[in-house]
Amino acid sequence: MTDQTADIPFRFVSKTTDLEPGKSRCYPLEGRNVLVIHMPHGGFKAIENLCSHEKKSMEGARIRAGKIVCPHHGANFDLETGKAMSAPAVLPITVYPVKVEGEDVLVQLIEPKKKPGNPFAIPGVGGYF
Amino acid sequence: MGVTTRIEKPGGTPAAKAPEPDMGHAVIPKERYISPEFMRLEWARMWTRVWLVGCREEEIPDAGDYITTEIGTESLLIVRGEDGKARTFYNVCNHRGNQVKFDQCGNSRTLQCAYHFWEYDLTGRLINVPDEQDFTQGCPKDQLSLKAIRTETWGGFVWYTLNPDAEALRDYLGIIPEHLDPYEFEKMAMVMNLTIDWDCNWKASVDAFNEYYHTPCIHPELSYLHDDVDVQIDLYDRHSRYLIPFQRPAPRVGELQDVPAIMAADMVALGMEPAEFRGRVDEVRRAFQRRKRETAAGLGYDYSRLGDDQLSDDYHYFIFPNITMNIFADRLMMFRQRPHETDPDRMYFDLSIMRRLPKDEARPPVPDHEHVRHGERSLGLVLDQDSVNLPHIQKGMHSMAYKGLWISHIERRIRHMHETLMNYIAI
Ligand code: FES
Ligand code: FES
Ligand SMILES: [Fe+2]
Repeated sequence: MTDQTADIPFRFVSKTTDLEPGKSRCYPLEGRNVLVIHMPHGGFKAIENLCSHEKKSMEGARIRAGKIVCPHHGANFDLETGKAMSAPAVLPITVYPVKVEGEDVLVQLIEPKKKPGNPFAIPGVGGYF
Repeated sequence: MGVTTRIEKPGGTPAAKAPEPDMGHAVIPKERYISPEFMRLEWARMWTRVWLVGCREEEIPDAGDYITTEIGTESLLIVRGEDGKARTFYNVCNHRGNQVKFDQCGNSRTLQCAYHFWEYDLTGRLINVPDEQDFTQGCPKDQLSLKAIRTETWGGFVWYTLNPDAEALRDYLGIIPEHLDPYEFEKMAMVMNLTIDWDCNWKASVDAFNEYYHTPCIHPELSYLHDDVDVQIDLYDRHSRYLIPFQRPAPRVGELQDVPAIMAADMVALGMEPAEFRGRVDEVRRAFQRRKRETAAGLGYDYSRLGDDQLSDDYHYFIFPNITMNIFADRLMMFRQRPHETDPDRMYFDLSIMRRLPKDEARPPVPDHEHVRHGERSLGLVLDQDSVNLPHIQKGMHSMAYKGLWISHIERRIRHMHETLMNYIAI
């Protein structure tokens, strides 16, 4: 897993000066929508701009305590791991590794997290349920 | 909104709409969910008087097989006798009160207590007391045999009641055998058996599956799999159901050109070609039902007792007080919600899945029972979504600002369940 992602190059996505701290903006990049987030206390994060709840854009979302709060129905996601921290979302979002070089924000477009094919499928049980 | 006429099979599961009782609009007091006092009433007047599911028959197939099951403060021992009959006993040795069995399941020729080796036969009769002569008062067998509990079977399940005066199981179940016998649950095989500790009252869990008001909110994916508007709700004597059309998207997603992936997966499994239904997504459900019929014999399935709708839809039944069944042609996903021994803020959620067996497939051994805490493992997307709010509902209900449940028409199975519950509590 780590070996595979190591091969994926970092790509330029935005300038550090594009965004005030606490702000986020969506950049299309190689067919993905990358939401770049300037963290309130400094540093940059990037995620796939797709809330795992209703697949909506989270551009402009508030950032609180290391989490992004979806502007639509308030789901929280941890920006380190992508884990859903509150209802109504339960699935994770994809967090892209970020590197800052000088004034450039670079992201590694790893594969998005797979959604379970069958929403009723329970891990450990073969077949439909 | 358009309401579909449900297609039923003569002699199969009735699909007609039941008359709607008038249940009023009163707020359902939150105390029923959080009060230890109400919990004691529930135990004394409801749990100890109703019929409850103990286990699957297939969990104790052979003479001497036993299983332990807990309800409230009681542990029960369900045993298969030499005569093939399942019997239930209070799981306590009448010597010094040890539990006769404290493993979850096993097999033994007699039931021997692990402390001083008092021994009972599979009918519960005390047959051996070591050094019996030392009990100078004697050991009267009638008094000291295991205390039996009324036990009956239906649907491949062993049911018990702590109420010696309860009506027969069939009478208690009311419409249920007539409605659900066509699915032949007794022929199905259990493929999952899991208990999860949830931090909420058992009724919060029952409620979560007795309304679909939350579906567009917390299960947005399901709008592409089933229609949650054209749902028929039927309230019976104690029990209730809703009939949910699957393989038909909910109206809120609008006109779809292509069959959504989530529907397509089930079609592909039946050898259908979803692309052929481009622009005709509304025709998929009937075509799916036809296909299911056509392929049944080849796959070894017999759906002759099921109506067409039952080949695609979820016939969702609630059997008072604690059984939720999502029923499809080939599978039953069942939830049994049990109260915690003492704490109204906690419960046990028993999740089991039964699968229809093709004609020539031998019954597989039952799966091992797993017991986890909420969040320790995924229960699949839908159940993870259903359970995420539950501990917060329980906490919220404790707020001084909250009085009780404000129930809508779409949520009326919840009100109906409370009516039944309060009929028990009132006596
Ligand atoms: S779309 Fe993000 S919380 Fe609903
Ligand atoms: S909207 Fe239903 S509990 Fe708040
Ligand atoms: Fe749900």
